[in-house]
Amino acid sequence: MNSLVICQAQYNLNKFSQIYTMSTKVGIGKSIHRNPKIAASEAVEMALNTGAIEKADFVFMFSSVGYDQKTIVKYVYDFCGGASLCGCSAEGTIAGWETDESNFSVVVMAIRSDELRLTNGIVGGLKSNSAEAGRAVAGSIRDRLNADTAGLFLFPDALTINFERFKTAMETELNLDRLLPLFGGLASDNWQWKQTYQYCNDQVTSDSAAWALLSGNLQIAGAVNHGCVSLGVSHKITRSEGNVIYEIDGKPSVETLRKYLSEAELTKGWGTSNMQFPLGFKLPDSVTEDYGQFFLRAMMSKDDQTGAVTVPTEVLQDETFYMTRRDYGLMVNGINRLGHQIKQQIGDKQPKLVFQFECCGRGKVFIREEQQSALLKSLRETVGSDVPWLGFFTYGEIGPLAGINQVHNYTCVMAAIY
Amino acid sequence: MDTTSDKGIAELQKENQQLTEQVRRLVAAENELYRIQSKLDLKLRLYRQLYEVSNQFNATFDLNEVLQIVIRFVLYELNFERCLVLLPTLEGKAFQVQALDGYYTDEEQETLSKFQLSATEPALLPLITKAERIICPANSDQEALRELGHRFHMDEYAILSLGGKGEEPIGLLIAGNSAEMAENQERVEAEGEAIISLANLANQATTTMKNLRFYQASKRFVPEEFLEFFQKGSIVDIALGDHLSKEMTIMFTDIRSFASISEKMTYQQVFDFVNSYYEQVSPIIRTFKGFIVKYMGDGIMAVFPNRADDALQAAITKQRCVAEYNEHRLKKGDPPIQIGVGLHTGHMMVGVVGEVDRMQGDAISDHVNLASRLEGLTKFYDASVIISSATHQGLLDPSNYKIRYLDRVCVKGKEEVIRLFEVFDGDPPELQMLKVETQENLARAQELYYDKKFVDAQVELFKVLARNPTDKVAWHFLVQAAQCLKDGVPETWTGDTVMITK
Repeated sequence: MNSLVICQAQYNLNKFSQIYTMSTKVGIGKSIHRNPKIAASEAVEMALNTGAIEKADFVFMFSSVGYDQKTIVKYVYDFCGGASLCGCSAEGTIAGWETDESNFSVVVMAIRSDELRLTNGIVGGLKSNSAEAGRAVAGSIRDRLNADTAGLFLFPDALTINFERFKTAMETELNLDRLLPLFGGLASDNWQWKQTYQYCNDQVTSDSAAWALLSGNLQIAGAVNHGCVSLGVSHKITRSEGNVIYEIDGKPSVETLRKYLSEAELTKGWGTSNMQFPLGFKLPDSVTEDYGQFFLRAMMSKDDQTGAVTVPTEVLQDETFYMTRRDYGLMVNGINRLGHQIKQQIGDKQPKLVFQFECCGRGKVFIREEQQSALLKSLRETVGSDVPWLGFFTYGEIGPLAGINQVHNYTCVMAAIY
Repeated sequence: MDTTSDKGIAELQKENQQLTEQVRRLVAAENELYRIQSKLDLKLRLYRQLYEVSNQFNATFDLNEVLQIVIRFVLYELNFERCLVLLPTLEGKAFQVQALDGYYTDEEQETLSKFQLSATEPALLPLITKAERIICPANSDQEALRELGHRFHMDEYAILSLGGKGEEPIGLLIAGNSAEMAENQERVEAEGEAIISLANLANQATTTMKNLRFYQASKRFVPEEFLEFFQKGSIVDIALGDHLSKEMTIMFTDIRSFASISEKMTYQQVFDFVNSYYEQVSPIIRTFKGFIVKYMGDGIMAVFPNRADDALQAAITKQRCVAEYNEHRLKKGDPPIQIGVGLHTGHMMVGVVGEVDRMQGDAISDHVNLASRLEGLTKFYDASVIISSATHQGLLDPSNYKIRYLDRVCVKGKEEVIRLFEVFDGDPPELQMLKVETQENLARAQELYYDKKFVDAQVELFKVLARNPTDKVAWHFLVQAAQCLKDGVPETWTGDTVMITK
């Protein structure tokens, strides 16, 4: 078995729920202090204070990679008194009303609840066998699944996971008669594209997927949206294998890219310029109203020798796609729609907490700081101004679309727990 | 037909190619636009932040706060990993760390807190003599600069002089990164935007620090309490004619026999002696919420705007402080000194007098003159602290102090008679004991004296003097009683002491 279950822990939070009135306290904390110990202390203290929590049961955290990852996770874990912790490295963080795409930002969500049950773990070996890793997660969560299990939060290594294989293997192994919705984001590393990190309690690993299974007296409202528009004519994948596209329109993929990117953008600018042109695969009309016309795939890497490009999920030979381009106007409309979709699902209820997984390609590389703030403000005002809100800028967003768990690019995925 | 169709397809393909090329160009132009926009945004942000920094500088008079503002900007706006500010040592031969922040190991932080750079450090020479800054990028080929950086744990850094061009630095600003963390930080590059912003920051900080030095120096002439009293934020807000009128207690203090002490000293020794004395007693006034209006040679004029008790406690503490100071003087072979303190409470005006180009604080009122006279009487009655009845009445609880009635006096230049009290809490313990033991006899003697029963008064006074032969108050009444017996007294006699000298 290539996959390795590194650790897992379970906290049953509603042991005494029949005696006491059920409640959930959630607090959000953030720090940009350069010293990881102080940053951890500030973020945890703020999270506990804003949530009026004496001791947290469960902690989500996301952190930029400027911090030494082992140090910052260790201190957040310690300062939270050893509460179960799940999270990953990020390109930027989202906490409350603020986004931060600097190299030094850590955000923490502290939860104390007797109505939510959170179980966490981590699985390694994504690069060698993502399917095996998916099966390992299935094995870890199988016994913990209940009728009230609401979803699985997943934070895999963006640079090594084959999401399609991971997900398919996990779902096949679980063989559930209902959808176990997956939410989360692919761990990122501030555009360095070198190494991402996944957190489980005080452990920090790469080439792994951290997960948290959420059960209890709750529901998850989810929505996903992008803001891209097609450019020019369609292209056909003429040779591919798995998630590697070797040829487009009968030519090495990189050659086709030359139509859109200059030599400089293809060489030294790669890393940000690859994010300029998502590949847009046409979606059935039934989902386009809520989601948008295209299912988007980022070109994560290229091989100059073979001229191939790699996307996060598998593609089919002869599949057609359009080069697309992000459009701020569409993004604004999409965010508005996203907020209303969430609002429609939760009705009059107030979410207990909200996760926002935002593509790094929709961050500062594309829109200006004040535009980013305006988008977040608009979203928060629609969904709930006072709701504890946490998220990060990802290398890929995970959320179900039309009843199928998917990894997305260039989207915003929201999960509101209510 | 085929030819037409082929031609149509070829045209469409050509059009498609042209469109694709246009798209590429438009996209490239848009990218370039966004890149420029991002750069402009960054510059605008830095510009705004520098403006904010300048507002923060303007809002503080605290040097440490200024340094913290500098460091915060370097770390959080310019995104360098580490920042140090060094200021000259007292001797001026080196620069030592005054403030630092950023991410250091505990060990690094410990060593840096004591870190000093010699002002004659060869690597610093270009900075001190001509250049505004020293830049050591990661790939610097200057071994001396790299070695210098290792001493403050930076592998790439910039050192900026806090001081104008050609001026001796009043501090050094060092910003940079360790090699391990540099990748996640703003890199140190000679022509980088960050270095320009750093230089702007250094200029602003220099101006602020210079202003602050001037302000600190001016505060020595106009005390902070004076500004607070007038509710002025800064010395520059003080204007000629500013004044505040209210009931206050005024204190006059003088060194007894200063003339005879100082005549045996050189001029320098006189100044050293006076300043050494002021250094001992002046803080006491501030401790008890008073402020010094002015120094007058060997004397101090101070006001206590709040409570009479503040002034009295300050007076007693001063006497105790002088007693300790005398022990120190005796050890050095210097003669002990004595001070007299006069306190009076009344409505007075504290304000700024002088001319537009030369101002000073002063207190103006008849009550001020009276307090000055009371201080003069301390020698006459050999009392360490004399308070007026107005101050006595202003005390929250006079029984908290060792107080004895002194006399009814009409001071020189005044028609009004005032009752005086001596406070002897600050006297040596043995003298305090004697005064307490004889307090009843003295009070009875004073009562008999005012009743014109001079012989009976003398009996009581002899009892006092039998216990405390040096009690000048008892002697004063004894002499006065003898005089009255000798000369007789008119019907209108009141027993008041009329002072004909200051």
